[in-house]
Amino acid sequence: MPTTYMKLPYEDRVLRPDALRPLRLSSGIVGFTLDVRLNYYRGLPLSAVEALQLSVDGIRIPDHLVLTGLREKIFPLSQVRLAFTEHWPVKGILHLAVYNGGLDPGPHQVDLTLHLRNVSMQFAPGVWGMIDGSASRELVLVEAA
Amino acid sequence: MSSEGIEMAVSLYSFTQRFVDRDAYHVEDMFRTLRQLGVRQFEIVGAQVFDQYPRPRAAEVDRVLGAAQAHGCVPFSYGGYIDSGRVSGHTPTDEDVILDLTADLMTARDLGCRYLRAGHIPEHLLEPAAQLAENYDISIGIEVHAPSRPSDEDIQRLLSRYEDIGSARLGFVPDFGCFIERPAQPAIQRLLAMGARQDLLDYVIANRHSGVSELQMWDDVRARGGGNAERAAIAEFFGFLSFGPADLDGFRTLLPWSLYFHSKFYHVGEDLTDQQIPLGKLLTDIVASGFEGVLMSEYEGHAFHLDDAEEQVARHLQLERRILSSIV
Repeated sequence: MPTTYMKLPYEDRVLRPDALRPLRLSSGIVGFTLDVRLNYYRGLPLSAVEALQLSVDGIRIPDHLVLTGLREKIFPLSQVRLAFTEHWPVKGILHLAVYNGGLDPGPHQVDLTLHLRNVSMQFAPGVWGMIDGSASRELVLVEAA
Repeated sequence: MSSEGIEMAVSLYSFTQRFVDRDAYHVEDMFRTLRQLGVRQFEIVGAQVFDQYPRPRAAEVDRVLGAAQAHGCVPFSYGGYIDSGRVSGHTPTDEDVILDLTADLMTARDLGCRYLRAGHIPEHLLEPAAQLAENYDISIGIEVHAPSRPSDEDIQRLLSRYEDIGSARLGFVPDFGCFIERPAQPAIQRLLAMGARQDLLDYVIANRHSGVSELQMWDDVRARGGGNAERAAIAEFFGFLSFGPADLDGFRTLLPWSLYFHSKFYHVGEDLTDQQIPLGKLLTDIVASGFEGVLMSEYEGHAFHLDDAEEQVARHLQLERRILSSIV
């Protein structure tokens, strides 16, 4: 029986202490950004993301408020699964821009659900090994350097 | 019997922990370590090291080659994947497999590697794979990796196909992680640190070979109060940390078709012993087969979040040399 659930011990690096920042545009603060890293030993195509859900202080962020960025490219959350030519490197950062109007300064409980398909590990037609890249952490909203 | 034709090499994958954890740590640092260890040949895993995969940018390949040369290191093999699940909701086709195989062969050639360690190639694509390998002048080794065992039906069928096709461009890369006889102590310690209960870990280990499936074990352990840490333990002990009596008879059947070996290890003690993998028996069989080629040390300490690859790889190389010199 092959492994169907994998969670490597890099959870602390998924949401680093400086991952949460205000999203400030010309009009002022319009939301926040969150840097997300992989809890895995290799990079994966961005399309491997099967579930990405974000909650802050226990409140679920609606998907349509989230814009994802990998290097110079941006995708609405709904189109991440189509981005099969984009490689999310193991040292790389997936930038989430959340247009929710902003967060209060200070600490916030951030809960990220991140499930990824192990694209090289198919057990049966349509059945793939899964990687649990989820993380929860209290983060302090910090200003960009 | 002679071990004179056996060379030591190191997979850069051994440095996974530091590579993943430290932003600035990269191939230059790894090659510096290889030089200190007195090792020249290496394997590199594209999906880990490169920002673009399956085809890295030329600058990324140049960086690897430049850094290797600066430290007197030489690429030996390229670790590839067949990422046939790249397109969401798409049933992988032969075209997907051939595309990824071609991409990895291209990169292996760019790097000057002699071998590509490939993932799963369906049997009906082995002949075209051999032709592709010929075209690129690179031999393809399919890894035999835990939880697979050499005697498994699919591995033996693959061996039979190799014999039928008769191409020197195809072969195996047996990974010594297939021969774990007991769980590594760092694995137990890590699971305990994650919050696993010792009694439930003991239960999983004691009943690993009782005939239950991974899913049945999880249902059982959950009913006994197990949580995520125990679930991770079950996944590991049924997966890449699967353990049991080493399948040495099966291993010997692979030797005539083995291109090189992944000398996987999880922990070598200060006394230069590996309590998990019967390295002495494996190396004795390899030497007895008349094999001449490379033993690729591959440390998996990152599985336990251990950043001690330099010390562990040094010990492992020392252990291998000691065993080989004792085989007459």
